[in-house]
Parts: sequence; structure tokens; C-alpha cells
Amino acid sequence: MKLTRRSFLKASAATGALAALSGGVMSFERWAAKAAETGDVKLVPSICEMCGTKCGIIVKVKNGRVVKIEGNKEHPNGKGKICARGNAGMKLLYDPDRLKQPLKKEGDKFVPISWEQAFKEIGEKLKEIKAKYGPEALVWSTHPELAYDYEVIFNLAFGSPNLTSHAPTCYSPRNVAYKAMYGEVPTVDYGNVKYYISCGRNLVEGINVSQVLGIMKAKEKGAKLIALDPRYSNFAALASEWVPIRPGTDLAFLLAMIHLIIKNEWYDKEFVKNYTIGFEEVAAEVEKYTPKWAEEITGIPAATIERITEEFAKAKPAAVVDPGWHVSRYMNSTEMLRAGAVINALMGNLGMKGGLKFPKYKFTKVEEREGLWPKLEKPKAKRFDGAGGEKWPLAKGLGMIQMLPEHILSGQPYPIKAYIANHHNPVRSAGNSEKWIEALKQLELVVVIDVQMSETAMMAHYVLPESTYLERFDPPQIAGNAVALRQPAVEPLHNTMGVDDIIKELAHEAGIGQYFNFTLEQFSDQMLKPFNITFKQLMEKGVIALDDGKTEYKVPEIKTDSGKIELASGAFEKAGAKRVPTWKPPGVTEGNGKLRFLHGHTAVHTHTSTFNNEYLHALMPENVLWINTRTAEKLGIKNGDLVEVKSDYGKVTIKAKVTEAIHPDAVYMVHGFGGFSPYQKKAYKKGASTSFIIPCHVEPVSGAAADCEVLVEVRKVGGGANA
Amino acid sequence: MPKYAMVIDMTKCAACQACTVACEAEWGLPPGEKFTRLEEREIGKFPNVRREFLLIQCQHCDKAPCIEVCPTGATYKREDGIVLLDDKRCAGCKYCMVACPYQARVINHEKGVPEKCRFCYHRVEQGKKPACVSTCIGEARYFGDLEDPNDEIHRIIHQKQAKPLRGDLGTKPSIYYVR
Repeated sequence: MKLTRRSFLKASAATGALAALSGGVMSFERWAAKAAETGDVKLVPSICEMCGTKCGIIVKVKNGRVVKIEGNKEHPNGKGKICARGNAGMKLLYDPDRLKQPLKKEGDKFVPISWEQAFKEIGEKLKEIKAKYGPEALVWSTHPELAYDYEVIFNLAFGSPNLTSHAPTCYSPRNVAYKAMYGEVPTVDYGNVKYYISCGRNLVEGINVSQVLGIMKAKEKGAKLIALDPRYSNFAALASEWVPIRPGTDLAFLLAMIHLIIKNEWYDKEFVKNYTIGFEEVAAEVEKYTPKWAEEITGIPAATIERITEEFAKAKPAAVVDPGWHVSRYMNSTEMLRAGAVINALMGNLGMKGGLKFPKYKFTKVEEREGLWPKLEKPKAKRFDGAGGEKWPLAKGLGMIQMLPEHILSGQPYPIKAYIANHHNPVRSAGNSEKWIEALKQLELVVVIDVQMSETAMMAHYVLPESTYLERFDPPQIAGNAVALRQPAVEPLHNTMGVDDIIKELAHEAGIGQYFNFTLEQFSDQMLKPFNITFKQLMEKGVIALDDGKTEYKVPEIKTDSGKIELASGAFEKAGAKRVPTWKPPGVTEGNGKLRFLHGHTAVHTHTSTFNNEYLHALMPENVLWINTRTAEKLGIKNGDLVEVKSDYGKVTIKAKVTEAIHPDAVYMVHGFGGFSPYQKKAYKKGASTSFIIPCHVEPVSGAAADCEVLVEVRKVGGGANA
Repeated sequence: MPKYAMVIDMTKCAACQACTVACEAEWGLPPGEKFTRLEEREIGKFPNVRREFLLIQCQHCDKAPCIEVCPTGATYKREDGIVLLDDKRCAGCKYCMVACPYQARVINHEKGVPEKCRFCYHRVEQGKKPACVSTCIGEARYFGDLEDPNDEIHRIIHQKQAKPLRGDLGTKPSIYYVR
């Protein structure tokens, strides 16, 4: 069966189930409830996409309309729970400001264009650019989602090495550190930790529902949770202890921990002997990193560092420094992640209850699958950003998307002429908006695939509207010990397409159609084959468990060259760092009226994508600038005043929140606000966008964006509501 | 007859407002009309500072001031403890809004009536938990039947020493807090 967007109704009807009302006296409210329940109701198991973590959902559809979304208990992600954003999903589907048809820019305006015409014109242009400048003149960026493999095939088939993700503005330092040292990127057995240290990992504002469920279970069992953060975040409110560390100095705190653990022999000697290499080199390096030394740098008393380290080590192996998520903050972030990785190894927590764990199941890499498309060749050209090359060996597979404007403007190392962005809004998420806008204007072809008119889409020649996650299929997902499927709850409301079909059609018109002669079902069946599961089975059940879910706690296979955790590693030396984690100061220093600019997530919004959602918008319509009471006093700023925040790269105005809950040297705002796409009417110009403040930086080891390495001056420009 | 009650464990609250939106979606409320409200306060001076959160909604009081002041009898308490509003009998006088010490009522501008949490009676009657309990990502909310001696809510209230909010007011709420 070829699955089209039209044929899903039949499929999802099969999965429908409706709980019948129990009998009894018909009261007024029961009558109301019954009235609400009658009609054509079906429940469709699917996967959320209000952020990137992909929790399982059950979508309730009544008379063809999505009326409610709940968590799916069968799905390992969320286990039946969803966050505020997930609960607000139907407001994306029914957002009147959504993209509803393909658009082409003519002059300053966007005009509707047919899909056929759009694909034809884009395909022709891509072929022309390829013939003139080579396939590497195309850069394709994405926030990798379930259809990522289609993007890989497209780029390899086209011959471009420049498929690149948002990694450097997010997790590059973590992946670089753990891949080199552990062979893989681990996560935490949150539900069983006994002592947990977060270096800026804000579990309840950068939400992964399963991880929140886990940490709450651990807390209830008495785990100690430590929050290192210059701001008293919502996670700090939940934690046992807030460590109000100076921004960018977590590395010093962790190095002092290593010093203490080794000096006092608090480490797991058996584990270190059997599963690690490089211990002696680390021991020699950290001799100088005393708690007193760290106190000077971090502002945290040596006695506090000593106490936390001793308590932490006593809890081993259920003692963890969280590898984190958004760790692309400072010029020393990769060193910080490496230091955390060393501490975890010294605790012997890998594979242990309450320690680090590797993902249990993975799909094979698309490049390794065969049969549905011609053999995929490695592109001849090197990447535009040098990732994976001599200077940036560790940035391989992560890239440096924030440097794209620089390369477009300089024409180095080669001309870039075409840019396609899918589910990605780098004009507001990868630093310096002004520079991105200037650079994208230089290109011959800009295509954006999205569900709404983002600021990057504003710069496009063609905007291709994707169906929302409630209207489309995607290739399957692996979540924990299960496979799951995103499937449509309703037919597309507008003239939109799933991204899989968009990529396929683009490929046909760009002269590489022979790589996409398969259906989504065939593609998915190939992915699922090793698990003896078919796409059809997954459509019926939504989620299928691959085992009984029980965990066997043991040290897993370590896929480094040595087969051991490499506490000292030559890979870092090749990337210009030392073999072992070393102190390196952050890139800029606060002082003389200059404050550190910090930013982060809120629990009720995602990146730059949810600000026009009417529930979430009403819940949090704008952001504010957190500034310490004493700092504000010196600047004559009162709570609610309008202030200007200015860096070397740009400025914004925003309301001030004067608070004790932030380090006096730092200011903070939630990112994602301050949208300037007038198409998103509710979100338009509400609050301030961090992207005018942040430069396009590059951290030397991982290629990360180091987006908190920026100083700002703050001044009052207007009175607040109470002034 | 059951007697429904809820426990909100603020020590496990992520302050994420999943409950707020789940409730809005469950009842199809207009944006901005919320039956749960997250309050926040800051205590102390840097670095010895802390922030505290509190979730507030209709407490389904046994001695509900809103029922006492309602001139039309629109607000009533069911035998199972759930306090409800019959919009058809509501005159829109807002006495209940003023009387509620928890400020749990919000005006529905479409209907002109002061609405509030309904303990998701329609879900409860189907054996489901209220939307806020069902979605809570910290598992900070519990819902149960005080009349059922085997309901785990007894153990939770006892073990966690959950107490009503402003018990001194004598309103006898059906929500117990852990703080």
C-alpha cells in the first residue's frame, strides 16, 4: 500500500477506541459530560513535536477536530505525561497565522505558487547552481527530526557535504567530549540517582518529560540535587542546594572536585583500573586545582566545594554530573564537559543504577542501509565550515552553522549560492540576526520548509509549508526500549505536505529522483526490519516495546579505540587542546559596567517556535531581563522599567525584572521572544530577541557557538508601569 | 458516596504549568482563562535567596464561602464534594469572586460568569483522574476518594503531612498541600 496523506483516515480509525460512559442517574453535569463525549470520537497514538524530545501522545479527535492531546502511557518518552507545550499542540494546528500554501517571493512580497511550480523552479535553480559552482554550493540546515534520513539521502545524492544541524548552538561540547572519551553520548538514570550535580542543566525549564519524572522520583527517595547556576532557576528551586557560581566557571568547580577526589582517594579504584586509561595524566594535571584556587575563580567557598565533593563521592556509583543539553555557552564548555566526564568515570557510574547509561537501541545509519536507492557516495568537496577537517576534527557531524553568514559573505572556502533550511530558524537561533539577514540576501536561492513564517522564512525565495505533526506521518522513532510512529490525527487543513514528500518532490526536480523511488512505508519497513516489526503494525499500535523494560545494571561495551574510557585522549590534542581537561578561562570577563549576558529556556515555550500559540502566548507573552537588585540600584533601574541591553553586536529594549535570584555580574533573559516576523501576529515584537545581542562565535575545540560569551551594558530608557 | 480530594506536593512541582494548559485544553477555555494559577515569591538576599512556587485553584471547600454568598444558588456542592457552578442560574454578580479567599474564580468573558476548577467531574465519573493530575510531569498531584479506606490518598496525606491551604480560615478545603 502506498501511504498517501489521504489514506490515513482508514488506518487511524482502526486504532480508535472510546471509553463508554458508565450508567447511573443523569445529573445536569453528567448530561453535559455525555453531550461532550458523543459524536465521532477517535483516539490516535502519535508523537508530539512541540519540542524536540518526542513524547508519546494520544490525540483525541472529535467530529474531525483535534480537541485534546494527552500523554501515551505505553510510550517511554513521557510515560503518559506531557508538558504545557504538548498540551497546547492543537493551537498550533488551528493557528490562523500558520503557513497554508507554498509561497514565492516577488519583490518584497510573498505570493502563492503551486507546489508543482515551486518544485520545478527550485529544482531548476539547484541544477543550475550545481552546474556552475559544484554541489557544495548548497548548504542545508536542519533541527534534525524523524525525517532526517531523507535529508541525508538528498544531500549525499546531490553531492553536497553541507548538511548541518543546530548542534553547535546546543549540545556540541557534550557530544564531542563524551564521544571522544566514552565512545558514545550517555544519559542519566535519573530515577535512581542519589547525588546529582547540574552544571546549568535546567531540567524543569528545558524539559524532557521522562527526565523530569525521573529526577522527581529520585528526589522523593531522598536524592541530593545540586544546581550550579548563576541564576536561581526553577530547577534551583527544586534542588537541595543552589550554588550561585560566577558565569563560565563551572569548569574550575569540577577541576577542584577531581583534585579532591584523587587526593582523598574517593574514586572507584576497581572501575578506574578496569575501565579507564589516562588516570595518571589527569592526576598530574589537577594537582594545582585546589578548592582555594577554585574559590577565587568561581566565588564559591572552598569549604562548600569540599563538602559537596565528599558527599557526592560517598554516594557513588549513583553520583552523577549531568552531561547536560544546551552546553554551547562558553569558550571553555568542552573542557567543562570533559571534566564532568572524568568525574563520572572516577565514580564508576557507567552502566550502574543511578549512573550514566547508553541508549539501548538504535536504527542503523541510513548510509549503511541498502536496496531502496542507488549507492550513496561521499561528497568530493570538504565542508564549508571545515567540520571534520584538520582544524576541526571533533566537530565532525556537528558542524558550525553559526558561521554560515561569515562564509557566505567571504566566499571562502568556496562560493555558497543556495541555502535550504528545514524546521530551523537560524536567523534567530544561531547568533547575530543582522549578519544572518545580510548574508542570506547574497544568495541566489533560499528555501525554507516550516509550519509557520519564521524570520528565516522571511528571507526565503520560496517558503514550503510543512504539515504539522498532527497532520502527517514521519519515519519511525526509537524511544528507550520501544519503537513508535508519528501518524496523522486529521487530514492536512491546508495546502501543506509532510517533509518526506517535500524532499522527495524536490529531489525529482533537482535531477536526483532515482534516490527516492520508495514509499514512506517501504522506507520505514527497512528501518524496522532488524526489530521484526512492520510499519503497518506500528500504525495500529502507535508504540511497540522491544523488550520487557527491565534494566540489567552492568558496564556496557565502551566503543573507543582502547575499549576503555579515555580520561586522557589524543583526539583533543589533534583539535588543539590538551590530552586531559585543563583550566581555561571563559572568553570575556565582566567588570567596568559590563555584565555577562545569559539566556535559556522556559518551560512553556520552545526555541523560536511556540510564541504564536494562543495558549502559550497567553501564559507567557513576553520575556523580561533578570538583573540583580544591587546591580540595578547602581544603574538606577527599578522593577518594571524599560531598559536597553546593548552588546558590541546589537541592542534590544526590554522590561527589567529586579531580583535577588541572579548573580550580580550577570543578566538573563528567556530566549525565543522578540520575533520580528509580522506573519506571526500574536508573537510579533513581543519581548526581546537574544539574537540581536549574541555574536556568531566559535569555540575552538568543538566548534560550538559559545553563545553566553558576550558582555552587555544595561541602561534605563523608560519608566515601568508603576513609575 | 465518594468524597473527592486532591494532594498537591509542591516539593515535586516543576512549576512547568502543564496542569494549567491541560486544564485549559480539557475545558476548551479561551486563552488566558486559567483555573490553576502559579504564584511565585522570592525570599532573602543574594546569595542566600530562594524562590517558592504555589499552585492555586478552587479548593472545593466543605464550607465554601462562594456558596454562602451566591444569591441564586448557581454555585452548589455535590455530595461527592465537588463544587460546581450552573451557568444558567448565575446572575454574574461576582459575589463569589470576592468571597473566595483563594481568589480561585476567573471571569469567562464570553459567558460573563465567574468560572473555576471543576475537579474534572466528567473524567472522574469515567474513572479517570482530572486533567491536571493526569498530565503532571512531576507526579506532584494526587486525586482520590477520602471515603474509600483503601485509596492511597490517605497514605499520601499522612506520610507527606499534607495540609489544607489556610486551614485557619475554616473553609475546610478538599485540596491538601505538601510544602
